[in-house]
Amino acid sequence: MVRTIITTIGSGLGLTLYSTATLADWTVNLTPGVTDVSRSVFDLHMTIFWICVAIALVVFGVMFWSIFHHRKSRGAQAHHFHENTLVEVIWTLIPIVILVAMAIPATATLVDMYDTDEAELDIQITGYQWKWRYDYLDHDLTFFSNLSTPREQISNEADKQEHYLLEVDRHLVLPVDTRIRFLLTSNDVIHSWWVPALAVKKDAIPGFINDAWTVINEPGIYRGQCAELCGKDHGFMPVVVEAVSRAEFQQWLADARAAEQAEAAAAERVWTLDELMQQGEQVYLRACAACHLPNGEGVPGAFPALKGSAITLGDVGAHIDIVLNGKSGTAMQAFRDQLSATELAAVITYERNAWGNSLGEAVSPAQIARLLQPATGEAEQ
Amino acid sequence: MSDQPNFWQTLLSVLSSFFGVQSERNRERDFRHGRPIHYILTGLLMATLFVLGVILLVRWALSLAGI
Amino acid sequence: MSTLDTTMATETGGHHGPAKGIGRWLFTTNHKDIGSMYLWFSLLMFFLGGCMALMIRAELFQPGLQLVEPGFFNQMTTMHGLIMVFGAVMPAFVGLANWMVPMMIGAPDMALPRMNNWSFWILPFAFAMLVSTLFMDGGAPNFGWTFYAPLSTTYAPPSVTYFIFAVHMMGISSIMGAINIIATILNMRAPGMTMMKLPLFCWTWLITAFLLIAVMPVLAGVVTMMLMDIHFGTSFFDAAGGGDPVLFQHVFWFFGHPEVYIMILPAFGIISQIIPTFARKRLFGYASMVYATASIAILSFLVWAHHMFTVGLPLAGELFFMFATMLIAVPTGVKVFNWVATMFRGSMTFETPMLFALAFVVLFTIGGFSGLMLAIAPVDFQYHDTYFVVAHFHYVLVPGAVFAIMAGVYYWLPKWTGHMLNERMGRLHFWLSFIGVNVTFFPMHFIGLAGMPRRIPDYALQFADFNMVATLGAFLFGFSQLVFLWNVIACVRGGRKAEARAWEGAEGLEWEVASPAPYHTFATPPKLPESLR
Repeated sequence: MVRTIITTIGSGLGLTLYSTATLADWTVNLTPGVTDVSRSVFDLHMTIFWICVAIALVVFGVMFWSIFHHRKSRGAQAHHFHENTLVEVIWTLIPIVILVAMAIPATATLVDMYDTDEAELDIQITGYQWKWRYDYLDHDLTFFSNLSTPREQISNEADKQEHYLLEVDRHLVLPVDTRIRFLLTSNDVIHSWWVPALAVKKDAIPGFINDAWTVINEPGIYRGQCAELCGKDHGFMPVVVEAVSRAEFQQWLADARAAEQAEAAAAERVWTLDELMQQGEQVYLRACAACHLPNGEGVPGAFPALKGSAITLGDVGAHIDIVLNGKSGTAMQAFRDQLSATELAAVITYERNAWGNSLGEAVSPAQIARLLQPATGEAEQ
Repeated sequence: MSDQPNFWQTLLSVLSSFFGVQSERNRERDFRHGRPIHYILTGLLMATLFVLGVILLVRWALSLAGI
Repeated sequence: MSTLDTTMATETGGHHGPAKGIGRWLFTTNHKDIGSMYLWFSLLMFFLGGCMALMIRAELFQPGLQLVEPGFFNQMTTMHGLIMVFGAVMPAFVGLANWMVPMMIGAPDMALPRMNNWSFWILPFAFAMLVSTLFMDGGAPNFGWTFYAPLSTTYAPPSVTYFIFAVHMMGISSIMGAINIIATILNMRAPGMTMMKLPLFCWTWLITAFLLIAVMPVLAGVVTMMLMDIHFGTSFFDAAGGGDPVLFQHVFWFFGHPEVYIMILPAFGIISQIIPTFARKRLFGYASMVYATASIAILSFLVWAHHMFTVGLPLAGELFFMFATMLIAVPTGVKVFNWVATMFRGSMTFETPMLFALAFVVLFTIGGFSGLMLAIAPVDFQYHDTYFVVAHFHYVLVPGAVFAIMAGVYYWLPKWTGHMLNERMGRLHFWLSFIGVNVTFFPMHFIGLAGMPRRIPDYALQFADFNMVATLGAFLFGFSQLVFLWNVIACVRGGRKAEARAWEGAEGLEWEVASPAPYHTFATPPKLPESLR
């Protein structure tokens, strides 16, 4: 659990590397965002803030005036009043009036936020430990979005880039000027999908579906994070939304679907062991290493080791089964819907041949593709 | 002044406890002459009414918003 | 006063003093001994929880993972929260109540002294069990102090069962402590000490005790439901079996919201004792202070879902809890206004307890303002689960509850030890703590608004600068608590002799007995002094 002091000192030297890039970034306030809702949220925030400042000035003003003038060292004599019901009623009524004035715009904004009807585009968002899955419900497109920051940056072995921890392998691409509805749920524990620039934060709860909506006004890339503690890598599952024009969005949809078909075709050809090992390592680092660690040794008591384990060295059928279908009641997820046939074959091959596990046999993508057939089109468990 | 606070005085005291402001005189009267059970029952009743009141307020706000 | 002293001395002269050796502490039924044990225990837990906080802040000093793994980081945030809430703040208040309530109301001891002993001695075992989970396979609880299901059930480490048992024991201890305080205040008051004359510390504790009795069983219920889900195949919180993960949050926060007032109402009581003493003026609006406390207690049962604005409550639910929550600002405001009105046209001096009390009023109010902002549901969507929330509850708990406890300790130390505090060291502790606490927690408002979620071990680069500032502040605050430890020990060991009325403006029965207070006080009920009649 405690790493070497050397790493710490090394990272201490790394301090200068990033702080020059971000020196000017002492952000102190909420973002106004890029939607009408996020702007009204920002306005509410500023209104209540200035009300608090005004009350604070009055209350603390009186207090510090008393502290200064009514101190014994200045010869102040204590007066003996200790009650005045009228004054108390007045200074209780004033906050009530302020609160009512605050409640009215807050209620209006909230009512607006809850009106999720008439969406042009439905996106289902599913939280997984520790990635997001996006389903474009009317467009037959599904993909996972994983953190893409390299491990070396997290462990301070490489310089951190501008979007450290806020970058993913696949953006959630959305059109601007379109009423979009998000349907949120989760595969395991509670997550919370949050993009500050859209003022959307909604919990993704296993077994339940929440909804939220947005209309993005400006194209751009907007970054957020999971906001609800969801286990070990809660801090490593960012959200990246890429807002593009409506035409670009249609083009992107077509490209994404073509790429999916190409991927499926790739499973049909014959792969060599080396090819599978090479791709397997990449898939492993992306999908498995968070728990089982890059060296396959796992975390004792929490996540089992794969190096020298009975499953990775035993019957290949059992190994394929646990990767495809997961193990219920544990953190081991079903990966059949998360990875393509090629990726599954590659990662299983990798697990059976890496870190001193050396069975020398390859699992072919075609074999996995056949196993995946019956489940195609079904909702995952 | 009769010893036992009457119903309206009890009610007023309970409402003061919801509001958070009470005069010394009324409090003294309550603690000297009142019976706790009256205040507890009135308190429970008012708490229920308070909840109903906030619910009605919410309903009203929603109807204004047209939902 | 002096007559009271001598009668006390003669009356207690025939009584036995404390027992010898370890038996004094194991078997004691003396409220002062038990109060001291509670306070020392809570100080120990404060340092333990503080070390965990420093580990968290050290990891967050810079972006990147340097010191701990993310899994261990989560164990630290969880244990820090649990230990500070249940091990440091709550026992400290019970300790102060044990020491002061009988002395304030003229009672010889607590109403149920044996139960008093038991309710204390449960705690070391409960926390030994909780802390032992750190050394278990799979590690300590890692799901946050709010332990949301299913992260704390299906996905929890095996040690969660020990955590559940420890929470049950803490709950039993708290309930027994609360029963004892209620029984003492209602039954053991000296003749003439009517409810209307009760010191405000007793009043706030009386109301807190009722809150404890109302909600600790709810906590016990929710952890039992977890236990059933984990080991007995039920599905309270598992949607796959027809349960509902959000049900957990409703039950938890029905306990949790009154719980946060359990941690602040006795603090209000302490501050309401200290400010009049050093302003040499009676508390302004005593009646309103009592009624505002009652009001806060009532409202605390009606606002729990404001912790859950993002779980997808129906619109009507959001509005209900938003309105109810905003109303809490009213009685809380009454309290702050009354403290300020007490200082107004007083004759103030600024000894250490008063410095802490003044810092409490200012910084707790800042925490109150951020609380009001958090109450606005649509804006809470942006604040929820960010460092803005962390800043908010640390402002009400550290310079709020913890400063009040320290103010209370400094205020009553002369009564406990018979020695006055070294003022210079007291001031040093105050200023270091005051600066440390603000440097730590104020930047958290900024990083929260800028978008940093809470409970993450590593963060994006734009949060780096303020995190570094916060960590420096945390170490300053943490290490300056060693000055506090030094002050307490120095005061126990010696110092200028304290008079019975240690502070010039102090009023109340506790200041009528000698300093240090004899082992047995008020063996026969005292006559109330002129000022209290």
